[in-house]
Amino acid sequence: MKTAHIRNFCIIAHIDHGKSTLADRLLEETNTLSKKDMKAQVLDSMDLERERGITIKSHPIRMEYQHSDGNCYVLNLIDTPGHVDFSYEVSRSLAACEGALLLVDAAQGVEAQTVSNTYLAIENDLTIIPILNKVDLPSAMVEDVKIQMMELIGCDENEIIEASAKSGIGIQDIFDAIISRIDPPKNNVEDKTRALIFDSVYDNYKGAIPYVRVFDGVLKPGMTAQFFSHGREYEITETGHFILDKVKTNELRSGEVGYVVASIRDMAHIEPGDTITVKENKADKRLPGYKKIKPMVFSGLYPAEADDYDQLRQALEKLQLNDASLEFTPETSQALGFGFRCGFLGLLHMEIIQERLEREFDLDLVTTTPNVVYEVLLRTGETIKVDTPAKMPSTSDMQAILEPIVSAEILTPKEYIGSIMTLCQKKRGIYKNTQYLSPEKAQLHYDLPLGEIIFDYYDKLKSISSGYASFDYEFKAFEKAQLQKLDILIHSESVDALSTICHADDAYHRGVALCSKLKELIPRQMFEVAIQAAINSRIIARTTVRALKKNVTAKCYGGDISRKRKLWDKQKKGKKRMKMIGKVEVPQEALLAVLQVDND
Amino acid sequence: MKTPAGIYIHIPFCAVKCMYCDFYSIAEREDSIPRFINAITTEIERCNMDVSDWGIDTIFIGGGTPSLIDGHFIESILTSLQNSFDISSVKEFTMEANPGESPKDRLMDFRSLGINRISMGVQSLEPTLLKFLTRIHSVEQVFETYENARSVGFHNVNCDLIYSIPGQTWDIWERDMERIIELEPNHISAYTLTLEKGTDLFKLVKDKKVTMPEDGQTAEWFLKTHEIMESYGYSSYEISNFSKPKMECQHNLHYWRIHPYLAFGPSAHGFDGQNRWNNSRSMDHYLQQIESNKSPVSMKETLTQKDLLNEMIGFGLRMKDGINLSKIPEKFKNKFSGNLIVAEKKWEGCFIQTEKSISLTKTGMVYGDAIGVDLMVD
Repeated sequence: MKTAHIRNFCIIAHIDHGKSTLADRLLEETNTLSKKDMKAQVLDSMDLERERGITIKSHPIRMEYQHSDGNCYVLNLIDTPGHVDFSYEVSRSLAACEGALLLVDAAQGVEAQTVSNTYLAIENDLTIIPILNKVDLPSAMVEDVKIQMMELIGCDENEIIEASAKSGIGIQDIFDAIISRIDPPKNNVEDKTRALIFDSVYDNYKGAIPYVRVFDGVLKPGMTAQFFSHGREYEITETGHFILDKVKTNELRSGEVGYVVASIRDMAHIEPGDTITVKENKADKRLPGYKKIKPMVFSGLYPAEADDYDQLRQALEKLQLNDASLEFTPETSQALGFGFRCGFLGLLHMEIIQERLEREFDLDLVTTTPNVVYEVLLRTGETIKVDTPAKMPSTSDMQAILEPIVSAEILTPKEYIGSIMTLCQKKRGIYKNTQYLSPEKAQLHYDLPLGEIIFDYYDKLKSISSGYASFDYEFKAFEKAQLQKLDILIHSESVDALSTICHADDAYHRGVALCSKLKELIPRQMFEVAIQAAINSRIIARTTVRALKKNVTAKCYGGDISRKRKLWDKQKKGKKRMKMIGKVEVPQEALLAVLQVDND
Repeated sequence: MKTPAGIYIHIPFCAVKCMYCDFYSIAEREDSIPRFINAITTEIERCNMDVSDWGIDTIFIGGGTPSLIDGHFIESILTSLQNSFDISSVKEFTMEANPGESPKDRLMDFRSLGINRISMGVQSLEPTLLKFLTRIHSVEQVFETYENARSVGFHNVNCDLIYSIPGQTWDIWERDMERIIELEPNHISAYTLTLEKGTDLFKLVKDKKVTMPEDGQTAEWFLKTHEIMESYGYSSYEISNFSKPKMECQHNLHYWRIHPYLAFGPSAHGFDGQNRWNNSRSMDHYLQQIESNKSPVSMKETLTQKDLLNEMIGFGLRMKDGINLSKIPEKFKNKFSGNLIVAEKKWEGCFIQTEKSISLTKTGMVYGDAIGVDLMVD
């Protein structure tokens, strides 16, 4: 295959804008997959991905396309995740491509996620092909959305392809544009070998398998692969392409996308963004990588049954094999026993990991309230990172607490601007500016503390804008803030899992709200249970769970034992996620009470 | 040794359905009695379960109001039982009887048939409360029926009482107890009024026409009731049951000790040590099934070892004797001890532990269901 006949591209789209449908259509048109083999939306291969309509992992797929110019082209589609939490994965995919299809739903318009990913693509010098999808919908706003797209990427109206992936409109134009507008990869096959790792999977038999884009030279079985970041060497035993499964090839040449098998046992040796070269044709300089985003959201994960600790550890290790962004370290909580402090890219990432642990590994988990990572400047002059509120040093030892600030952009129809600004102010946002993508669609820029948006910000934004506003953010900097640790005491015992860090102005209000929420969630015990909120050991709020007076059925005869047992079984089930904190039984839900506290 | 076991006969006829009762009963169907007796005797005679290793030592005729039925009908049921099972070792043979609905001559007939225990539905000695509970007997009839039972030779009599009724004061309840205790029944069942779905009482409470007493008050009365009963020599061998020495209801103990029992009649529940089943809860359906030579069983389930253990835990805790630790299967022992350790922390002062058993203190009994659930294995 000539390099000139290869096109490497990805699709940038917001959730539900039709990315997977378009991908399916491309697979079908190139006969990569026959209609009868097609599960709806092949790319989203995890159950979870299909259920939630999101893509989590980057999936590469190779298609062969017979063009009307008489040539056969290889089209490598490198799929990208569509959610704010996974922008890291997006940049990985972009680095392996020369072009991107920008897919926008004609009924929805440009959304924040699309904007930030498009900027990433422009930064990476990718050719952007704007596609207006779902033009056949009665609610399509073709003209207005075209204006938004032109404003976004600065293209001409005639460059925008009108399409409907669902009904097959414009598909031919898309193929033509991929071939004619996207540059083929540079043919550097004579150069020293360099391949960029953009993803990896773990195979029980073959070990860790890096997914690579070869930029220079050739990778072949028999060669010795060398990793730039750590210098380790592995003999390559297999190379191949991705059709739907992996398909072996003799080699991977400059411009190609594929996988490399080299009996790599340790997943940690494959770091996406790293460069592979070969001993036989060794390069001196690595390819420009891309910055790895550190987890910003942390939460404690504990097995509901203490016996399951080892199983949880093994499950986390397995998940980490395919998700390098997941971090975890052992942690002990007075309330919850032994577990792990896990770092996630965002709230969705956290939810997905929890769900996968429960579904794929059949674990019952107790999770703690998520928090962001803080930088603390100690009196000693030293700066430390604190990823759990319980470990926050005492006030007297600290000079300052710094919290992560993100720069956020919110895209919204203009009528919601007012209420969105009010929301951002409440969340301690600092207004930057407003731009208009079209007369109807505004783009607001804010600096927001990440700690304020990891809870309910997104839900609130959606509800005040009737679902129309969208939002994306990227980490900006750590900044000083007036923060305090809010402790919760249940029956006079401080519960580490319930400690939170919050802004001084908000502490009292939050303490009161948290106490009353916990009162709702904690079942009555034999004795009265006091719930208190404290800052620096000073009690600022208190509620009481009244004592349970009685829980026994008087009459239990007539031989109908089944009914009673079934009732007990049901109660037993409801108790599965209870934890003893001192003498008090607390449901797992209560440990997440902070999430339910309404800050209005 | 044979497994101790019992037989239960359900006779669902009542003159009036009480507003709090959720046992299967039907009013104004006396005309069906002969047809029903035919059916239940057929059901008994058709039963081909192998009970050769059971030692059947109790029979209990409950309802409904079985005392409404003439002696000769009861006799045919007994004959069928004798024809089908070895009931020669029956020690306790109970019949439920309502005050005012068990004339002396009928009691005499029952006694002559070998029935040796009468369980009387007294419920209350306060006329307004009897009315509230839609009981149709008077206070005087309670004493009259009690005397009649004694005079025809029943040496074992139970009185059922209900307390914590809306409108009841502690003084009324204490007086009721004392008046009944004065009669010296051998056994007293004292239940707090329980709200059951599908009853008129449930609807009244739901519509806010009646307010149930608060749990705090009920719990307090529960503890005081136990004190009074025990001070008069009635041992509380189960949460709601009190007896003079050796006069515990052996039949109910079968249920609570997870022993097997046969059951006949509509809605009756049976157990063979592994399976639980119950008959149709409709008289018409029950009759139809039997008359068309079909089984009246409407539900059957097979219990796992875990189910059996959890029943043993739940019902064991309700008894003074508690859970017999030697009966916990080996493979659940660790799990159970683990649960116990956590529960002891949570339910401080609720457990009495010996080498052989775990039982509840009086305070523990107040929370019996919740504690049971905490000890059960999953």
